[in-house]
Order: sequence, then C-alpha cells, then structure tokens
Amino acid sequence: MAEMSDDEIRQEYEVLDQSKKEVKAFGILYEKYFDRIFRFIYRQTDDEELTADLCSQTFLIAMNNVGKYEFRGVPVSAWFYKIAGNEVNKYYRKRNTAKVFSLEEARVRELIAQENEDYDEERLFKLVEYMKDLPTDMIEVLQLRFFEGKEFNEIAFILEMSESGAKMRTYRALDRLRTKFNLTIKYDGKE
Amino acid sequence: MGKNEIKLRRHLDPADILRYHNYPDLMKRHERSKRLKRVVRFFTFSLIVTVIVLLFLIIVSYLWFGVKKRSEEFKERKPGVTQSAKR
Repeated sequence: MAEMSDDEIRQEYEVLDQSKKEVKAFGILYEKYFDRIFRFIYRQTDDEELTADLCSQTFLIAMNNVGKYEFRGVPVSAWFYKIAGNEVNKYYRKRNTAKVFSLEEARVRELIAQENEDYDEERLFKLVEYMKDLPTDMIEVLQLRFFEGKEFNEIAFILEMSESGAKMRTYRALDRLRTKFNLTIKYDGKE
Repeated sequence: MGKNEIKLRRHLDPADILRYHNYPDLMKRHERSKRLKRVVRFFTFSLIVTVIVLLFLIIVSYLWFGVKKRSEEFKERKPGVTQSAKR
C-alpha cells in the first residue's frame, strides 16, 4: 500500500471537513475505505456477516462523530481503523472468547522469505501454531504493519500508543519469530 | 493475553465485499440516530427545566407559607400585647 503524501492527507481531511456541513460528502470516504476496513475486520473475525455488521457500525460511528474529529496529521483512514478495532474488541469482550485472526495464506507466504530449501507446509503450520501463543497486542501490531501496510505513526494512532511503543512492539514480535523459526520477514523489500 | 485462534485462508473476493456496500442504508441509520439524539436531548432539557421549576415552586411555597405563618402568629400575639398593656 502506497504511503500517502501530506497533501493527500490534507485533501482527504478537507473531504471529511466538508462532510461536517453536508453529510453526503462522507460517501466519498465510505466508498474509498469500505473494502479496506471490511478486510481489516474480517481478518479478526473470519465471519462475513459479522464483519458486515461491524463494518457498517464503524462507518455509522464515524458519521455520527464527524464533528468531533480533529486533524492529527494521520490519514482519515487511521480513524476508521481505530473505530473498527474498538468495535472488534467490544465484540470479543461481550462474547468473552479467544480472538480469531484469519490471515491470507498467500500474504503470509509472501512475507516469509525462505531461508532454505526445506521450508515446507509443516513449518508454516508450526509458525501458525506458534503465533497462537503470541500476545494479542503483538498480533494486532503485526497485522497493521504487514497486512494493512500501516506506517508506525498510524499504528500508534490506531492503537492509542506512542510511535516508539509501536515500533518496539513490532520489533519484539518479529524478534520472537526470527529466533524461533530463523525467519526473515520481508516488508517492501526491507527487513 | 495469548492463545488466539489463527487461521489461514484464501483472499477475499472483492465482489463478495461489494455485496455489503450499502451507503443509503448507512445514511438512513445516521438520520435515525440523529433524530434519536435530538429526542433524547429534548427530553433531558425538559427534565432539567421541570426539576428547576419544581425546585423554584417548592422554595417559593416554603417561603410563602413561612411568611403567612409568621404573620398569623404575629396577629395572634397582638391581642395578648393589648391585654398586658391594659394591666
């Protein structure tokens, strides 16, 4: 996912600002981000109907609170992600069950650089098993960084933490995977 | 924290997601919640006004009864004063 320039972030904010006066303008942002937010929620629920409900609720909350939104230098989408994340957490708190992370297999394979030839299905299976024991907040940060392609300042905004905290948490999670599986995680060609 | 469920799956088809796009419905829900908010605000305002008016009436009636009672006591005491003056 391409990083947004400051101008693009500003322009998007202007659309949101416009929707404070005329709510129909919000439709532009809805159409632009619906798919991304849907995929983001689906990765944490693995249930299409539930995802549709939570996604719709996310945009409704955003629409109802558009007047309260303050520009903080991050794309408007980060605000949607934050609301969506809160809605997902609220759902799991109510249900009191383990969180489900449903990740695209192709993307997981894409991210993992094969260190040697004997990298096989069994190793992928073991990796998934190991990830189950990672703390939820670590998986959340990995999801935002490697599946949503978010910058650290956005991750910090979404998870309500400092940027250095977001970096630290990501590197710690990667470190665990590296030491356990001798993996190199690719990200835009960089480690 | 920990022990989450991790699943691997295929990519979601954009056409599947498209089925759930429903901006008109979102607009309707937004209008409904705006209306509800307005109604709640109106009732809260009415309740506050009612409480203030009731408090005002209670205070006024308390003062009014107090004044009335004191004037009655004063009237009752007045004949007594004249009797002692006669003595």
